[in-house]
Amino acid sequence: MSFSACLLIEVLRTPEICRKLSLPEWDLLIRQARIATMMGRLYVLFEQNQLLDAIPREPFRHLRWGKIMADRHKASVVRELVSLRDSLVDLDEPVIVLKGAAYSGSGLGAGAGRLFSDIDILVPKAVLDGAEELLQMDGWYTTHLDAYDQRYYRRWMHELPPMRHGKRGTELDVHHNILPETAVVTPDAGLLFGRKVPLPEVDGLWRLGDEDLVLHSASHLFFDGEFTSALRDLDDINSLLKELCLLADRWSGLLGRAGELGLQYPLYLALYYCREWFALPVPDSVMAEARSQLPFGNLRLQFGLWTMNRGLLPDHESCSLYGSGLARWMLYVRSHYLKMPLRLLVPHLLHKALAPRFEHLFKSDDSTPRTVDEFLNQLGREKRV
Amino acid sequence: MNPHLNLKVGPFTVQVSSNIAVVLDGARLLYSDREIAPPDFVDFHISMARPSGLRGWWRPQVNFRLDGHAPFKPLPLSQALPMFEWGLNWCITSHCLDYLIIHAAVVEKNGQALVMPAPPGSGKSTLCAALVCNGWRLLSDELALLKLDGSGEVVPLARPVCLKNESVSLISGRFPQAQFGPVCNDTIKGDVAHMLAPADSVFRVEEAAKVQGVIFPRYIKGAETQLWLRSRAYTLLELAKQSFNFHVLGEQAYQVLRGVVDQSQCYDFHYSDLEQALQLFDELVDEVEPLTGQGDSQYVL
Repeated sequence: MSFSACLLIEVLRTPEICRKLSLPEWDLLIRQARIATMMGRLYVLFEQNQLLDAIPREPFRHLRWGKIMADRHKASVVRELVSLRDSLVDLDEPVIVLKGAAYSGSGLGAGAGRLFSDIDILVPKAVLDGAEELLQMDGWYTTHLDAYDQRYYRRWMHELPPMRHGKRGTELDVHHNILPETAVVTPDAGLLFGRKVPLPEVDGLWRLGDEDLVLHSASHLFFDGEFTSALRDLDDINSLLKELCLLADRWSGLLGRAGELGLQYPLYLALYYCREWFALPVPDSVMAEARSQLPFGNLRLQFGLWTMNRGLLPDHESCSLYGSGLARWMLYVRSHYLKMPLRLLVPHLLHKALAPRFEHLFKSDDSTPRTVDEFLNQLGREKRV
Repeated sequence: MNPHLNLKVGPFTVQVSSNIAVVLDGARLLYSDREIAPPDFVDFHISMARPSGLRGWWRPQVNFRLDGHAPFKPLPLSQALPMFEWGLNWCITSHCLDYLIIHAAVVEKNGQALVMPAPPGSGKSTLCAALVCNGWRLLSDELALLKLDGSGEVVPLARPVCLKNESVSLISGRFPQAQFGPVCNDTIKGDVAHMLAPADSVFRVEEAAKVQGVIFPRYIKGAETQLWLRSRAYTLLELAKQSFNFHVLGEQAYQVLRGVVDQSQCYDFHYSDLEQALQLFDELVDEVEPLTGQGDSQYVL
């Protein structure tokens, strides 16, 4: 099996095996967890399975550091959500919290021990400008100041250019859909608002409906080119499926919803990998039905699985398979092609490839590189989410 | 696999692997008494390697990686050793949450540790190097690891002291016994060389020391040697500002700093004459009565 290369996946699948790990194996596990940004997650998993006592002292402190960091992130995220709710109260439209912040704000298992790099929200497209204005008044400003990038986001993407808070440094993505309008599939955002659910931890905010939560997580993972924390994302999906679909046996609702939103392929991949790698008991009949919803044949599916097998593993030398580099590159190319048709993509990539070479002739580069010296002078004034 | 070197640096085990002989030789020199047999568990697996491709040999560069992740842009190969030191700082400060970590030098004499936080360019490292060549014990030149258990103690690292520009000749001229690693020219901090931690400091690296003073040193050309009390409240704020993980540890970190400033005398210190500075520091630890922990509440604003 392809995942046998990765101890982290084996432990996520069967946490009890940690009792038998040697110290060199713990060494490897900690390294894989660090690169997969899953240290806090792993701590929570051991905690839930009453295994913390079985962990030797040396690896234990790394897991504990991960948990402390995750707790800090969680507290910051909830604070940010409260302040976002207050900033957007005059919008008079529902604000849906997406991804990690939604798991955390809903007390779902997928949010436990997790780190956040930004906060994502979804508002109706009609009020996107209004939302941006309200946020600007409360100290959020736009990044990507280059005129081309601004145009690119506003015209083609499903979100505003990322925003950052002037004081707290938190990053915020304001979406009006979960996939770009130029993508091969664009779900109808209205359908998503139709099934929104109140966010338990922050009054006045919403999250996606149960099935949509899973489907968005899957489409984000399998339609996105950034696979740096792919295993963490897959583990999120596994946890969501367990909590929202498995217990209540809501598979048919999930399959039906994937059809309505056009997200059959990411759902199939999500079910496939959660079953294969994490032993999630997805019934055979559900797998067969998910497979039958795909509009393409076996050859293309096998090719997809070949690349995903590699892309989903942590990007650590110990998890490298034959062709891993090529697969990651193909996934990256694929993500662009999924987002935009070629007639838009080719000019965009040309601009990105050529513009930087000439830019310096006209202006000084004020985008400061991250160097060791900056780090030393920075002294904890780092981004604080 | 590349040749590698295993080190015990204070409370951490570190493995450096490198395909560059200079890096391993340099690290072996700077950490001469710290080499250990390959341990079963390593806290930080660091690699220092030339990039593959063009910049591996044309104006060659070096990459610092922790488990394949490169937190910094590559530097010229000649700066590999300073980069290792800076990178190790990064490993410790961005992962370890067992201590409140402050950007400060820490030295100890007569059981009294002094914490000296200061921005780059304030002459902190020069003063620190001079002190440890003059009978003080080196706990750290860059990172003060404050215990979280309420003891008000600092855990030593006893790593090399990074000196810049004229400080190198100043210290090696005044203290011929000081041992140095190779000088690296033209780094982002200027010419840089590392002074080895004195053997006694390395020998006592497991021995924590209680903080009794917080001193903000500043080298000002031509200035008189001056020491004056600084308010404990402002000292606490400044320590928090100079900390790497105060915002992660939150209230716990605040309580630690409160304990530290309560048990310490806090000073601002300006100097230009190193001899006078050394004399004054010696008087300081002779004079200051170790406090009994009743939390002296003298706040000078």
